[in-house]
Formats: sequence, C-alpha cells, structure tokens
Amino acid sequence: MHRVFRSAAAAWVAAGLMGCAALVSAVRGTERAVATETERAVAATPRWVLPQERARALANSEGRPLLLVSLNGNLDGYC
Amino acid sequence: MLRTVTFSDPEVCRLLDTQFVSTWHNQAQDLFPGKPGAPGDHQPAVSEHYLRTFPDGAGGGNVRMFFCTPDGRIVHGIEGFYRPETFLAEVAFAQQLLAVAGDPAELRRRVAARQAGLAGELGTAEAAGAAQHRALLQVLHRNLERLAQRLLELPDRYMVSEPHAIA
Repeated sequence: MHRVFRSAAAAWVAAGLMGCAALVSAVRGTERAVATETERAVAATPRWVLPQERARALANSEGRPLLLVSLNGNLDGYC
Repeated sequence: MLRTVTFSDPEVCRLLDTQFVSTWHNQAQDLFPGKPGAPGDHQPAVSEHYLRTFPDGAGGGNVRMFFCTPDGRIVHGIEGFYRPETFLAEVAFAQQLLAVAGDPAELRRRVAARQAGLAGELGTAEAAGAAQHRALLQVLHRNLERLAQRLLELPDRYMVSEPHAIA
C-alpha cells in the first residue's frame, strides 16, 4: 500500500516539476519572441556606411549625395 | 529615437538607401558614463510613452544632420529629432537644393524663399495658438537661419558642439 502511495506521490511531484519547466520555458519563449520583435522593429534602418571617411569617399566616387548624421552620444541614446 | 522612430520608417529607409550615401558619427563618445558609444553598443530602450510624446523638432544640437553634395558640401542642415513625415519633407527640400547646388545664387534664393514661407506659417500658427506646431516651425526656421551661414561649406566645423541638456 505504501509503495502505491509513494508511486503516486512521486508521479505528482514529477508532474509538478514538468509543469514548472513547461511554464518557465513558455515564459522564456515569450521573452525571446518579444526581444526578436523589438530587434525586427529597428532592423529596418538605412544602410549606414562607416566610418564617415569611407562614406565620404564613396559618395564622391559614386556621385551620390551624402547624409551625415552627427550625434552627441551613440545612435540608440535619444536617437 | 531617431533609430527607433525615424530611421526605422520604411519610406525613410527606402529614400535614404536609394538616394544617399548615409553615415553617422558619434562626436561625444563619453557622454553616457560607462557606455563607450561604439556602433554596436545600444543605450537602454526608452518607453513607448516617451516615444509618443517627444516633441517633433526637439533635441537641439545633440543630433545634427547634414545633407551634402557628393563632394561633401552642405546644401541643407537640420538639428534635433524629427518624426518620419517631417523628416521626409526635409529630405525632399534637401533634394530640391541638391538639384541646384551648382548655382549658389539659386541655392540661396530657395533657402530664403522657404525661410519667408515658414515665417508666414509661424505668424498663422501664433494667431491660432497652436503651440506644438509653432515650436516645430521655429526649429525649422532656425535651421534655415543657420543653413544660410553654412551653405556649400564643409560640415566638419559644425559637427562639434557642447552636449545639450536632454529633456
């Protein structure tokens, strides 16, 4: 009889642990999805040619106008 | 915010990628303590509310954008952050100026004409009491005042400034 109870208890504990693992995995998956979505939202930025000296040389050689963005701080601060 | 709002706009991307060679330069890499400001180094994201309510045209000399001829001469310059529709209008104006960059007199005439137009709009906005629109018009007008002094110069001497306070 004890053996039956022990088996049932072990099964419940195992099921609980599996449930927790599934929950953690689902939450992490959601976080990953959100992070991916955020990256996707800003992934479509213009093709920046860096450093600026290279961009200037390229504009000159290709005869294309140049857009030069000068920042105090990097591109993700208030930009 | 330029990266998250303006430069991630598909039309802005398309226009810049097809019509310009675009580059950026960080003139104050030590502005944020502990953040070296390398190209791949991202600042913490700002909130949706901040993005939604940040005024169009604010930011001052923290962000300076120069539209230049292929040999690097200034034909248009704007300072601050702009929402995509405002930015696209500035790009369109820059393209008009680029088309006459070889004729300095015509270039100055067009800048002066837009200045006069904005001054007129500013008067109307003041009468209507439209504070936000008036603030943007004032920023755009100041951009043109500075531009008139800088036309066809190399941008380098105007790229260095004291950091402005961040609102």
